[in-house]
Amino acid sequence: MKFRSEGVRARVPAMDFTSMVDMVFLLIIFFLATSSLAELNRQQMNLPQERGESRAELVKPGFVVNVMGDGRMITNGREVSLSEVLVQIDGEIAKLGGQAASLDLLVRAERNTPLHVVNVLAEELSSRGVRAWKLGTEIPRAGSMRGRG
Amino acid sequence: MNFKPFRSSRVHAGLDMTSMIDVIFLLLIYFLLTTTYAPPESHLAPALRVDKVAAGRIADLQPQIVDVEIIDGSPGFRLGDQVLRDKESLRLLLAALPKDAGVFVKGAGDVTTEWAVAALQACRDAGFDRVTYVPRRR
Repeated sequence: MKFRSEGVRARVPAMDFTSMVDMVFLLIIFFLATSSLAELNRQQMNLPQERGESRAELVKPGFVVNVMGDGRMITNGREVSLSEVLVQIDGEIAKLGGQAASLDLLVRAERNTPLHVVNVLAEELSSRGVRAWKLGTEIPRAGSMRGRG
Repeated sequence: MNFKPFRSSRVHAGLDMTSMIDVIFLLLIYFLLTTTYAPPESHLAPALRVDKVAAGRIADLQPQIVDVEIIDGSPGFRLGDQVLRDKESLRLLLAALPKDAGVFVKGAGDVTTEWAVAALQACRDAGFDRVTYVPRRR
């Protein structure tokens, strides 16, 4: 007895996954690259080598001020004067409905920055009602600790 | 009786691994490069306060005050009458002090930022929750 004719064959439709895998990985690369570019946009700086706060919430801060060793200030990738920084900070405070205490501010000052530059900024912040800030540090790699021990 | 077809003729869907391996190696290179270029960062979050002469009554609890300044020609920390030259000594001294009132770090303008940050770190490491940075004019 023959239940199936010899000519009919079970065919599984072939699907070529190659291009789909290519596309998926290209998308992954795209998202990884763009997210890391945001990090690379951070100014390359010699931050003080400290562990920071052990309970630090490492979320992205609202506003970042980079202070270079020679006192120059950089925000959003552009060199700006102190007065321009303060205008930007005023804008950020305005966005928060005038709640300066809610301002999430990270100051990334290079380790050799004269403290008077940071102090002037701190005084201006304090006069605007900012009560807390974050000072950026670079987590030291093993064996790379230097400076004040 | 022959229930099976004469010849098994299943068509297998082929998955070309070549491009996937290419992409995986690209990802590996990417992560290796970014690990090199982006050092891990953290932060210290002291409160901020400008040093003003208090008009009201003096608080019952007085915070510890760490001065960061040039002492005898080189930067150091001053806590009371103690002069300390490194962060670890400061941390050890702070660890023995009461923590309730918090600590003020007063940074003089003529030292570099790393000294102020080191003092803030020592305060945190010593167990102080309330750390306040007070900028000092030069």
